[in-house]
Formats: sequence, C-alpha cells, structure tokens
Amino acid sequence: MSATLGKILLSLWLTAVIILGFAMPMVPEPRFWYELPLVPGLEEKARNIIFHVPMAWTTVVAFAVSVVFSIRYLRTKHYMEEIRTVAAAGLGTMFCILATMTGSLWAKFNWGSFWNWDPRETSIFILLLIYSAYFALRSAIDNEEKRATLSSVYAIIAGVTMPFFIFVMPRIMTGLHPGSKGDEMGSAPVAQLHMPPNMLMLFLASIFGFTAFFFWMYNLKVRSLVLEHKQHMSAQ
Amino acid sequence: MDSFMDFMEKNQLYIAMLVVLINWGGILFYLFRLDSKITKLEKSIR
Repeated sequence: MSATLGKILLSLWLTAVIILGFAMPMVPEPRFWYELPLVPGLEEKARNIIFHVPMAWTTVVAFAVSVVFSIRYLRTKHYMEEIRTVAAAGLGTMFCILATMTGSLWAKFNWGSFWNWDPRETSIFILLLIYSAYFALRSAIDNEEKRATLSSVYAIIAGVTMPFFIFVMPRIMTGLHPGSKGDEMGSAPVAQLHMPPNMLMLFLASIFGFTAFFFWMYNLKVRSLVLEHKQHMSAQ
Repeated sequence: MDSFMDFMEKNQLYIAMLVVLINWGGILFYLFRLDSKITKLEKSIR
C-alpha cells in the first residue's frame, strides 16, 4: 500500500514539475515567487533546463548503480547482482539517448545546428558508444557465467570513465555549453547552480522526481529480468 | 520544414514542449517494450 502511495505521490510530483516548468511566466525583472527571469539569448528555451538536464543526471545515477552492482557481482557471483547491473546499464543508456536527443533539439534553436561537436556533445556520444559496446559484448558471449563476469568487469571500466566524460572533460575544454572553460559570463546555471531560488527549487524538484522515476522503472526492469531468469532456469 | 522551424523560433515555448514530448516518448517506448516482454514471459509460464 505504501509503495503504491509513493508511486502516486511521485506521479503527482512530476506532473507538478512539468506544469510549473511551463506555467511559471518568464519576465525581465521577476518580482513574485512564481516569476522566472528572462535570460537574453535563452528566453523561453531556458525552461529546457528543467527537462533536459535531469535526463543527463539520471544517466549518471543509472551508470553509477551499474558500477556498484557489477562490483558486487564480481565479489559474490550472485545472478541477482548481474541482473541489477544489466537493468541499470540499459536504463542509463535510454536516459543518455533522451539527454542527447533533447539537447540536440535545444542546440538547433540556440546554436543553429542539431549537432556541433561541442565537448559535452562529444563526450555524451562517446559514452553512448561505450555503453553500446557493453551490450554488444554481452550478446557476443554464450556462456552465462563468462558473460556475467566479463560484462561486469567492462561495466566497471565504463562506469569509471563516465565521471570524466560527464563532469571533467566538458569543463576543461572550451565549448558552447555553459560551464565550459573560458565561459566569460560565468553563467554556468547548471554547472554551478547559479539560478534564482525559485528556478533552482524547480530544477532540483525535477532532478529528484526523475531520479525517483528511474528507480521505479529500474524496479520493474529488474523484476522482469528475474522472471526471465527463473523461466530460463526452469526450461533447462 | 522551414516554416516549422520559423514557427518554433517565434514560439519558443513549443521547443520546451517538444523536449518534454521526446522524454515522454522515450519512456513510453521503454514501457511498451517491457510490457511486451512481460506478456511473452507470462505466456511461456502458462
């Protein structure tokens, strides 16, 4: 019952975030709590921060979860840890694709092209390739235990490169994203959380909501993989 | 296509809407795939 209540509350939470993300008016000089600042150059597109960045954040959470469970698999060799790793890596890849697609759309209207090979775009592209290779590796090995062990080792290596591609590389190179090296405006609204309090609250609410939503989807995926595993074992 | 881009340029709120729709579409796609996987499992268990 409490789990159902939690899911209902989460659904309402995310619905509220989406409604507020659109409904809060953008004005040049905000005077009330519900008014967001109109940033020249970004204008209404600034609302994308509420919906695009949480996708990238959820990717980070998912890949971090996959690293934790792949380490646990190598220590325990228990199939549940392997299942949890695969589920997290799959969902992380899906959120990574969503972050790439939404970012690409935003880039078209802010920077003139869907793809600019900005350091952050390049790094997320490499990250997508790395995790595609994870699934390619898994599908190439028939022996279950060998597959689980090798892919867990790979998931750890992939997960270790993730912070570099998400947090380090885009900050040490010059680029179009806020927070890049030489960003004179110091605008970095996301990188340094320089936002007016109401926008920051909405942004954090969105981050929290999508992270919780990820764990809900993750739970469903793990349960389906467990069923699949049991069915596979009983068929043998 | 150009007129669509012009429209989006002038009505930037729709860009944010498109971003939300992309997220929603991705999540729906994932759920549909999961749904069909579970249906297959249920059938094979029966």
